[in-house]
Amino acid sequence: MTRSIHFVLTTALVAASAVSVVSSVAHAQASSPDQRERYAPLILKLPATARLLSLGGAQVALRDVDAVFGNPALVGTATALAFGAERYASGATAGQFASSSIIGPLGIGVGVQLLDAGPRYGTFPARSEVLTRENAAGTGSVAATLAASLSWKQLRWGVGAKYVEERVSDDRAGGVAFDIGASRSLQFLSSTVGIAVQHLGPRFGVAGRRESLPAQVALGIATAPRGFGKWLDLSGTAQLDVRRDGELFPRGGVELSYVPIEGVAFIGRVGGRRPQLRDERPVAAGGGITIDRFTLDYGWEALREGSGHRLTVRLR
Amino acid sequence: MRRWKTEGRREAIARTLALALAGTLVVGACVAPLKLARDDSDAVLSRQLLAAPNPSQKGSFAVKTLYYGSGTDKQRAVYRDSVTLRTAVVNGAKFASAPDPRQAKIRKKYWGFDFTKLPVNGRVWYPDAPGAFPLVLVVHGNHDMKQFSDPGYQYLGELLASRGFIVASVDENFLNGNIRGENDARGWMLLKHLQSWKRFNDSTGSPLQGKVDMHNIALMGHSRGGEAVSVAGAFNRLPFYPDDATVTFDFNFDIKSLVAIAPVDGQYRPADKPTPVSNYNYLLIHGSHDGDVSTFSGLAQYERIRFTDAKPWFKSAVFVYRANHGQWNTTWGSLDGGPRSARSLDTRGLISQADQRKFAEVYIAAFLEATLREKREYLPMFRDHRVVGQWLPKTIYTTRFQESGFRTAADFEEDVDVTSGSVPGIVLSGDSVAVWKESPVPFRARATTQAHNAVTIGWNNRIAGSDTTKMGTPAAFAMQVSDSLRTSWNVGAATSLVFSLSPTDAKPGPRAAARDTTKKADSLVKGAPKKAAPRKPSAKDAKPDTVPIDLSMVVTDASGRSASLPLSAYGVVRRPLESYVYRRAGRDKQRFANVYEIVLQTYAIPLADFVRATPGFDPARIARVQWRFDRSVAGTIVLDNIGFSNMRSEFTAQTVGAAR
Repeated sequence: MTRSIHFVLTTALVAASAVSVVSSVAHAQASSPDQRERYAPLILKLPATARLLSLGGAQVALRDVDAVFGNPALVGTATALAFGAERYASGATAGQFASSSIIGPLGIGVGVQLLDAGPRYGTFPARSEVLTRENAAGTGSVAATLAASLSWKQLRWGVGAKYVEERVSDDRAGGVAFDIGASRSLQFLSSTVGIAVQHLGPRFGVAGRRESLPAQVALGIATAPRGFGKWLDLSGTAQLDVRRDGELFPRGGVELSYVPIEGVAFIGRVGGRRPQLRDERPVAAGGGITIDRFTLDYGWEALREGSGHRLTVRLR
Repeated sequence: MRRWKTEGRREAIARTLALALAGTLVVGACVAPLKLARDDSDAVLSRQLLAAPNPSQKGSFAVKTLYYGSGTDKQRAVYRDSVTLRTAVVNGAKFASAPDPRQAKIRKKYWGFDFTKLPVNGRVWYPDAPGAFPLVLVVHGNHDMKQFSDPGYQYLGELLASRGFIVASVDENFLNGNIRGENDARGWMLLKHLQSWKRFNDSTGSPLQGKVDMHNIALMGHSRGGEAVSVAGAFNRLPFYPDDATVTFDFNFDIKSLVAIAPVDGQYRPADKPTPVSNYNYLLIHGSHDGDVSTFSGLAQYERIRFTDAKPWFKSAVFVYRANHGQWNTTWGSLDGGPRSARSLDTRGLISQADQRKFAEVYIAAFLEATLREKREYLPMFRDHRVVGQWLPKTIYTTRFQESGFRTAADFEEDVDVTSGSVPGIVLSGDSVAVWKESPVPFRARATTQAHNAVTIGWNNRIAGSDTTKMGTPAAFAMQVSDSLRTSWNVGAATSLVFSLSPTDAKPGPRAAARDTTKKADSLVKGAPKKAAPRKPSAKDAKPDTVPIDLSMVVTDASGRSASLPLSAYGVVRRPLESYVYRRAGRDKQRFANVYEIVLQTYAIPLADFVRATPGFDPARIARVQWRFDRSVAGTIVLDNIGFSNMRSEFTAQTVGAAR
């Protein structure tokens, strides 16, 4: 019992203190919301799956199928398939597909993200208002990623290449970006630490308007689910993003699973983040149900106007 | 506004209730219903033929306790501050190691020592009276190394000490956790403990000086400890460590008895062979609902125990329906995979911890009384549990038994000729049987066997056709015994016919009608319409046979006089008991080849009973033994270890039988 309490406290410490403490540092150098929402494309700044969404978007240390979107070093650590969709307050929809598998010594991940935000006229680059305002500019955004990982010298190393494209009204910009990551398992709380340099690539633009990719360094930790009593598992994750302009964005979340019988889990999640987008808000939550190899996740995020709802199916 | 709020609240409540209902339905659909075999214990355990004192009752001795050990233990105060007898550490690095350097570091940090400095720690219960008393070492198996297992046998320690045994629960917690292939270390440690015990007994001033009867020693182990006692039994008589002869052994203790509680087998293989053990008394107990060692692995070791000298050894195995793995140890409890295994293991069907421990107390105490203190009045219960029905908790038991007087006529190991026995002079035959084959007896776990062969006999006395009442001659399986063999084995009125048997749920189809050779075949008759071929029963049609099985044991002497007895009078003839370990519906069928373990029941039928049934039958001239399938229309049995035994009269002093 004492060990469980210790674990809960430590997990809470990992998740909450990282978010709150670093958040206060970040807050000290906070810039205006418009300044924060700088780079393009929009799709790279949105959490990819319902689970990630409800954990505040902290994904750089998570061993899951959606590692392809966050840290290529962790692809292949969970072989699975995931697909899902999100509906935003504006009526915009996002979708995603991810798969993670192992081929020989390599972990291989494939991921696709899509955003479709309606037909209204606007100019590149898209802003987050497309998620909350029905009359915002029509936007389509896509990112397709291929990533591979390998274990070497007690670390996992990974690299991902992605094609990204954003279309706003008639403006269409596209280009290539890269992610590089590393991760290591720690004995401490059976956790994983991960670091990734994300969204590296040349600026891309259209019709004279050029924008940089939202390149950043993300550093995070995730604890493996730990039994808390007979029926509950608790895990947590925390992450700090250091964007190319030096802005800090902490995020994190905790996940509590109730497992009434082997193979069936009811999951609750809550996460927090310092928003990178003007229309995002700090709070996210969600839940899920797992039955053997099937998981249905739901994620909810607060937005400046309304909220976003995301469903993801994971098949292991 | 208020109305909207109320409506919103109602909607939220309805949504929550719907979700809760959906969740409950999901979980409910996943939970397997509780399935237990029909309990026949009211009838089977209705007798109490042994008049000896109940061995589970406390004895007359006051019990004292002490601890021995390194005196420097980092984690356990009792082995640091309460040690009465100090022991030197031993170097076990040749026998066990951590799985990797990181784990080695973690373990050393936790315990304060590595495998080169293993402590010889034990907690002792002993009679407060002048000795000498037999010594019993009990050792736990693998478990969370931080949840110490050695205190969990206090119930046995206190009981046995009160009955005049010195009991030490050996600390091997430092071998627990994520180590593999270390059961040689566990066994070797037991022998190192015995070396310490010799010193305790011989040292002037020791509180145990002269109290220990070092000529009457038993080793008892649970789970991996259950394999360790066999390893210790083998190492005890070896001059060198089989896997590294630079390690010399010099033990040769007077170990008389080994007790294996839900043991594993084969995790350690000396020189990559199954551990050979001979010339010890051996008691094996195992639960059908074991959520850790889910196969009756100890049966393989049971089969390997050999009696090669002229001493009166015996071995017995009892399969306890609805017993699990952990309840033999009070620290481990009902969840065999740790607290989180509540999610996977179905504990609803388990007998209570008190009942499970009661069984252990009855059988283990009686076994030690019989083998270390010559209390022979307990011997019949190891042959047939029905003679102590009133001592046993109400559940279902299956008993295997063999003693050193047993002479094997057929154990189906020697060749691939199904008609040959294990010795010259034995000829096997089948009459009207549908199945007759020799094959390994499977364990319930996939792709594993009990490492011995048996013969499978199937029959169906019904003649195929529309008339379901038409029966043929009862099928039979027979064993011819030559004159010279029965003479050399001294078979006579004091001899018992012994074999082990279990029905299965397979049921062969009806037998074909005998061909009428007096008529012309239909096909030869011109113009005769062709009959449609009878439909072959498909696998889907086959259903497990649940009709109770019985058969007749028929013996015939050289002059042709036969005597017959029903088998069921000498033990319950029961199909394998289905046991469902997991909570998830279908999980047992997914994980195991069978949802039951085939455990053969040993039947020992005194030949004198045949004489009582048919006066004039001469057991000294027995020529044929027949398993005649005349009491059940159809069925299948697995049969093994057929032979004769001039067992000590104490074994048959109390017998449940047809002619008594």
